[in-house]
Amino acid sequence: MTRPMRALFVTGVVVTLAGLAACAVRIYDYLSTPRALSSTSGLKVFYQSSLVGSESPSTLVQYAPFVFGAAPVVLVAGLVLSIASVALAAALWRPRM
Amino acid sequence: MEESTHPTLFEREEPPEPPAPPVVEVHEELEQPEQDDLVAQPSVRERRNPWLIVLWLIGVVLTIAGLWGLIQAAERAMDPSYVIVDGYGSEQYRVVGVEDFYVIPAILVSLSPWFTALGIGSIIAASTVHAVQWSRRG
Repeated sequence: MTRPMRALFVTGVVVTLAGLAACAVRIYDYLSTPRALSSTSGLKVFYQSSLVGSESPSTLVQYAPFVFGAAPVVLVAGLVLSIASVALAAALWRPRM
Repeated sequence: MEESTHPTLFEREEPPEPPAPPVVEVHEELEQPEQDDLVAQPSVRERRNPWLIVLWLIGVVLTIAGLWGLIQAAERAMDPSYVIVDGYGSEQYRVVGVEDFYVIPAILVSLSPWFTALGIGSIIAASTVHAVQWSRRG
């Protein structure tokens, strides 16, 4: 693997990890900000998520539908860069004589 | 009478013989390849393209993961037990967390098609590299 391909691969891995981190942050933000119960909001009622450390798991809250945003796009872009670098390395590889 | 300095017919020197061809000694040891030559040849394992193997693995793993995610998303969408119906007496009512109801389906729907596409693309790329190397051999 030449130096430009290695740089492409490292960039892809970094972007993939950034996308994963962005996804995790987005999910944590969503779960940690429930809405108060309201009979007029039209939102579904759930028990508060235990993933964000709710004090009492039987607390009823409401959540709006989850929207991911751009985080998966960043993750997929990193995967594309990584796979492209591996494909280039496979195409240009020669056996050592 | 002076003596002639030129040699007579009987005194002439014979022409020198042509040089004999060099004697070639054939050593049977030289006919066989030396051990160092055998070591210098790339072995079968070294001839395998490691990046191609990695590309195949990425393609297969991503394709399987993407298809599994798509199937899971479809099953969740069709499973009536994931539908909250007010909580009054319905036999199919099941209390699900917000993770099961909103977050996991969103992850599956967002990422599974991409994973499937990337996996299939990786498999196509690996097949293309195989085809190019095959034509170079010919």
